[in-house]
Amino acid sequence: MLAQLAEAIRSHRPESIAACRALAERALAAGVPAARIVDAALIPAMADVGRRFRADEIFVPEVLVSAKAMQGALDVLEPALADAGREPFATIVLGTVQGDVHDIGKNLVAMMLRGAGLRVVDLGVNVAPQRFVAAIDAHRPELVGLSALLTTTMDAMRATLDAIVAAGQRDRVRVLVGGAPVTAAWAMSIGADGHADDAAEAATVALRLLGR
Amino acid sequence: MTFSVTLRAAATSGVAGTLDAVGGPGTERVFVASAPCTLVDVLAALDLTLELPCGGTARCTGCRVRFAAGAPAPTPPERALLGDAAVAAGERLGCACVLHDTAILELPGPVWRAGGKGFGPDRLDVPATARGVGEALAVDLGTTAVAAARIDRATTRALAQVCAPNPLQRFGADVLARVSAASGGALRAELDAGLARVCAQVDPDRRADAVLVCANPVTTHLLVGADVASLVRAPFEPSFRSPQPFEVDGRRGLTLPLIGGHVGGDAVAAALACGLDRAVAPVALVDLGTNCEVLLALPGGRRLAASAAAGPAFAGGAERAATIAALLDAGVIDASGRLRDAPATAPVTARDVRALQLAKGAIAAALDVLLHRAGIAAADVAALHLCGVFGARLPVPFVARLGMCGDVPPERVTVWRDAAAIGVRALACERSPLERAVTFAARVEHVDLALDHDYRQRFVERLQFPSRPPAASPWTPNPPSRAR
Ligand code: B12
Repeated sequence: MLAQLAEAIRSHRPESIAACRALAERALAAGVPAARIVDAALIPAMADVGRRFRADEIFVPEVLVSAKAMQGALDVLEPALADAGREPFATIVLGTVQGDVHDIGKNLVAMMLRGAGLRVVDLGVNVAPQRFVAAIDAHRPELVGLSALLTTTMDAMRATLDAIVAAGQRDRVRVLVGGAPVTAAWAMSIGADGHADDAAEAATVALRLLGR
Repeated sequence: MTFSVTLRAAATSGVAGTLDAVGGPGTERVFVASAPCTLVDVLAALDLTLELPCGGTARCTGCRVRFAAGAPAPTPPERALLGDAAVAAGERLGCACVLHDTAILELPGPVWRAGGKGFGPDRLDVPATARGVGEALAVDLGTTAVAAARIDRATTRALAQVCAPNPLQRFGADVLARVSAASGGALRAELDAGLARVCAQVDPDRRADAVLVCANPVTTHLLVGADVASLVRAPFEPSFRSPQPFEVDGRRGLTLPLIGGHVGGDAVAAALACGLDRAVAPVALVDLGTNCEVLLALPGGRRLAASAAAGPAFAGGAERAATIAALLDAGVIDASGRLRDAPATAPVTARDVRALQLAKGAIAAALDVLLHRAGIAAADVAALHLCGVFGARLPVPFVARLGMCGDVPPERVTVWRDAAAIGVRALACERSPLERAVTFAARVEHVDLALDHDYRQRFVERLQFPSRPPAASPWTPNPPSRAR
């Protein structure tokens, strides 16, 4: 059943979205612990989706279908996960920086991070530095993710990092940056902790920064 | 020391800048040098310009060339970006090459004749009663190339014309990259000098009494010395929309009106050239340049416009589009865009296909949004005009195969060369040159796609390629009778 669920997530067929909910319900009914369903089906399936996205075998529409299917299963499992006291092992506050309105890539990153087992607090687009600061206070995340798609808004990344430093929060969070014009060299120059070229790598780097 | 540099157009099919500029497949042009020189210099000497998407800073592979013989030693960025195999096969970055010995190279990428942009047919059908007198300068100040013409207003004839690369190209391929690379003042000074140069070339005796310029909003702002800050980050709004006076080299200039933050006077000029102001049935315009603007005109005067951020994926021109279309037909690329079992020699990479999907998806989805807002179906569109420096080089069958114009039937798509230049020339002939442009622009509803609820979903849907080739239609560039 778990193999079937993983396969349904991987298949990225529109009908798999409904199928995944049903399969997750059946697995629960059959007595499989929710945490095991997550660990043995959801997470490996999304890791495989990420790998194929990175290899250019699948593209944005396919990843979105897989992510929706995974999210459907996760919604079914959530009450049982809460009952069993299983919490996401870390939180990331994620957003597109001030001045920028592109969010398709950032949304993919959010989905892959959820698929890797993180809690994602998505602040949306055109997020001012102070809103990141406030969200860090409110949600106590381990990670902060900044997205920028324009060469003219990359500076807002630096401004956001500066605001996090000024608020005395810098040693509490690791900062991950990305978006089409963002390079590893730029990430280093503004003092970020990590950078990724795509959503799959974003999950890998996030786990590495969390020491997992 | 003398040595020769032979440029050969790569033997690929399709209509493309390279073939246009160098000649048919396999055609050669030879340059004899007497000192070490860069490839960019060689091209300039032959009156050719190489497209430099990253502004010639060796950060992308958009200017890739292949040496058949005499390749210079590779630089570190060439090794990093092209990979050892490609470097061993003679590939280099056009912007990074320094030549000091006899070499033969193939130009697979986009090379344009520097004088590539024109101003259309001998005469335009501006009604005699609407024409002014004397001479005027018309300028299409494009992101890639600047074209200027001296016009005899009474006869509509272009008495002299010239086309040169946009001097800001070295700061980056798109306007945002340029604004990030240099200060407004520095950009303005170069733009000014470049504009002064082309004006002097077509009008050395200063016979024309005014210069009419169409350009995108960022370039228009730079030209008149306005701040571009609000254009290059949210809210992406211009600080003015109406025509602005400016001065260039002591000449009186005027800009065309703007429609929105990234829909400018160039789109207005192209729309007028294609008759969108006189639409008696729904007419669409896709102006595919470095940026892409989509306009829709309905009978009764309602007009909508949006900026679709297509980017330079189409800079590869017809060759790459043709290759991808052919691979789709052959089933090597499937409708999802996956490139299967590509032979190692495939002329496109999976990344090229993905980049094209993003660009064409952004355009098709923008058209979908405008049609939806207008409450009409793609089948109701009587004509779709495809223009712009890249659009005008795409044969309709490829456009249709890639699904670039959504569900508009391919036989209704017409490709136009130099639409903006023809539009600004026609306006320059008129007694009150800005009246038609201002009336048109004032009635256009600007749709900000970032704020449209459905755009994201439609964009994702339009990333797919059509699963079957639509009925073919012949390619007809610029039906001359329609120029106005
Ligand atoms: C779709 C799109 C839009 C849509 C955005 C819709 C939306 N809700 O997001 C719309 C139409 C609104 C838009 C608008 C604009 N756009 Co736009 N847009 C694009 C386009 C075509 C695709 C972007 C995209 O979604 N890619 C797909 C996703 C999956 O990839 P991605 O975003 O790169 O994300 C991946 C990685 O970067 C990474 N990543 C992303 N974020 C993060 C964050 C972290 C923490 C990490 C680790 C990783 C990571 O992972 C992601 C998944 O793998 C690009 C062109 C292109 N080829 O990229 C232009 C582009 C980004 N836009 C551009 C521009 C200029 C604009 C405008 C400013 C002007 C215009 N042309 O109209 C406007 C401004 C907004 C406005 N108010 O009009 C330019 C930027 C040029 C530059 N030098 O900066 C581009 C490059 C096109 C171009 N060359 O002209 N755009």
